Amino acid sequence: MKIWSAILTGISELMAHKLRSLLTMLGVIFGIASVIAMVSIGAGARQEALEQIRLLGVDVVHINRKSLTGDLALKAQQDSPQGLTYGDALALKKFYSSAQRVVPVCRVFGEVRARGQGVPSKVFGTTADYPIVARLDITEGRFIDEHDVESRAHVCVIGSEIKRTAFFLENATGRTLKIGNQEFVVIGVMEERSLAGGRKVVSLRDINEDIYIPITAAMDEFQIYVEQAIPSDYRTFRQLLARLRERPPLEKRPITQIILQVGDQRETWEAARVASRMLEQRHKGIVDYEVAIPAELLRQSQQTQRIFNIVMGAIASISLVVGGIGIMNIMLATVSARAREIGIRRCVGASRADIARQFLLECLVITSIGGLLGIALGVEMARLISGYAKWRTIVSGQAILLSLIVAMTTGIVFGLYPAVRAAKIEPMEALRAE
Amino acid sequence: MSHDGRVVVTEDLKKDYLAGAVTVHALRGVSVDIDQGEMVAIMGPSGSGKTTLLNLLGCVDRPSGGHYWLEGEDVSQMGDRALSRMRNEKIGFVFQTFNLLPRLNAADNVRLPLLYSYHRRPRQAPLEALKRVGLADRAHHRPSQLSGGEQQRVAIARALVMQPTILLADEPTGNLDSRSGEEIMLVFQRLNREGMTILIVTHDSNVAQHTSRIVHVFDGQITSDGPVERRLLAEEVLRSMPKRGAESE
Ligand SMILES: Nc1ncnc2c1ncn2[C@@H]1O[C@H](COP(=O)(O)OP(=O)(O)OP(=O)(O)O)[C@@H](O)[C@H]1O
Ligand SMILES: [Mg+2]
Repeated sequence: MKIWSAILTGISELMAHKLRSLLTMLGVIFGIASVIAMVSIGAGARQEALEQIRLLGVDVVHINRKSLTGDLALKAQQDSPQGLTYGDALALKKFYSSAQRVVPVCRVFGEVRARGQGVPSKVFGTTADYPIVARLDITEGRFIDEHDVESRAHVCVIGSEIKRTAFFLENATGRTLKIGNQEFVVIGVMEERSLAGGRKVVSLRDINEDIYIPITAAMDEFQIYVEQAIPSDYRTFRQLLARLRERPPLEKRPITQIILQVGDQRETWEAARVASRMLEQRHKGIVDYEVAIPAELLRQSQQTQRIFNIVMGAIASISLVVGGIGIMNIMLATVSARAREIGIRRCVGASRADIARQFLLECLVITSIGGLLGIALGVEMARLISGYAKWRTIVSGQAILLSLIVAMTTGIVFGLYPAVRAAKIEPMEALRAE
Repeated sequence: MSHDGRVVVTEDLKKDYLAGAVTVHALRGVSVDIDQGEMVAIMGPSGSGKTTLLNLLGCVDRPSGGHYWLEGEDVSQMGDRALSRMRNEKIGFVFQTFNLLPRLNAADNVRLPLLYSYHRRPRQAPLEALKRVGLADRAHHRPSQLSGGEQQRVAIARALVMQPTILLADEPTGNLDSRSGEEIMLVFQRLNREGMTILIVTHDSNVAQHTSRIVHVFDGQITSDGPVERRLLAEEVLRSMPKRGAESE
């Protein structure tokens, strides 16, 4: 029998029992829909993680100040009273030659005002290389340069949100901002960076409210913002305040972060190791800093993704097996109900193989149509999920093709037994039965 | 083996059925020859093995013993594919209960054997076959829209569409009133006159009188086999019958 006429028979059989066909397909429809929905959620999450981590840069190492508590804090008073310092950054730059760039960052306190109005913002002192390692662009003016750092210039570069709130989108360069009680001239505006909504793999702050000033000016003019646990006893608290108010040479001043760029993702782990060893020596074994590698976060998020994939695959296979058993069940019922038809076809020349092929193809038609409906439902589900849960979803052609193949395989696997049963029907016995 | 115009040759054909623990000897050695162009009736009481014989001759079942040559080919040892091909190309079945597919119209029912054919048949073959049974104008009607006699004629058209060697009919008039039955016999006699070999299983001696030869079967064996002396002609019988619609008076 020609394949095509068997398919047509299958389709007309489906059309003759629309409700039954739909019920038969239900398992496959939902199985495939969940495959599509889950694959697209997974793909969206992966893409998002990648993008977020790329914003941090995959060829950098972050060294962050870490506050200590309890006995460790007491010990640190002796051996490494300043925590992470500007001197650490200078040392890294000087002695670690594989580092392409070493950028110190320190957050400072200070109320920011423009035209007498308070502007919500975060102020950071840093150096000329910051936009490169942080992957930021300037839309207006320029960033801080080496000369500004050397001369402790009172200049600043502002985030796009600051420009919006302080200067109402007018030209900002050349205007002045008041940080604390110092005047700073705006020399540039950073490009706006939109943060994609959704689940965060790494926490990214809203950099559009940042203000950058030369790190030297920051250390010179402001109290350094130090995230440190407030000591519980009064004496240590006094010591801490006194130390923060001290004016030691710049190298001894605390900073909040050092960003190390090595230029190649594969070297980040080595760089982290080397930097850790250097800092360990300088801090006399007190680990009052943490070394973070965004590329490592990427690896971890991929690992999480793998687990998600396994769980997802398990759920999808269970629903497809359940759907497949449903199809098999109904096909078996159909085979008995259509015994007379089978007998007639056998009498006019159909072989057992012809009958088996016909039922297998009918099953394939059911699961293919079910698969297509499932894909449509899955795409719609993905769309709703991104609409309501604000999760990004990506429906790939690959996922669609894969689910269609899975649906058809389900049809073949679970159609096999009913097809064999149909082929075994004895034509004359089937025709005798009234 | 050349068949010399003998379409069917059987030799000591046996068929046993296993029904639980007991073996039913449905056929106990049947040897019969049927020549090209014959119209034969098989008669016998219920359970005598008529249908069993017809199934063997129609290649839907294999004998437990003996031999069967269809147009000189030994069918008794053929596998499923070869047997299916035999049914498709050489056999035309007509049943008591018509056995049309209810969802297909007349033309599609007649086309059914073509789906399983190894040879291309002309596109209009189903329509030609319907024309031969006088139902060309009902090609697009479904079985439920046809009378019993019309359904049986569609079934005959389906049996004819592959131009088979032999027509096998099991009680073809059993479910019809006498006039529709007579019309079916008219179709059979016409086909026979055109050269078709026809085998009809029947209880009805009136039907048997339309054929040229009657074979009696009893308890799985042939008890008598002879020509029909005063053959009935369906045209004449129909002429003597009351017109349709007048029957109830
Ligand atoms: N599939 C089967 N399994 C077991 N026994 C069977 C089977 N088919 C037929 N028989 C037996 O074989 C014998 C012959 O049956 P068959 O159907 O050939 O009779 P028949 O002459 O056609 O009868 P009828 O005139 O009632 O149609 C019967 O005794 C029947 O019970
Ligand atoms: Mg019978």
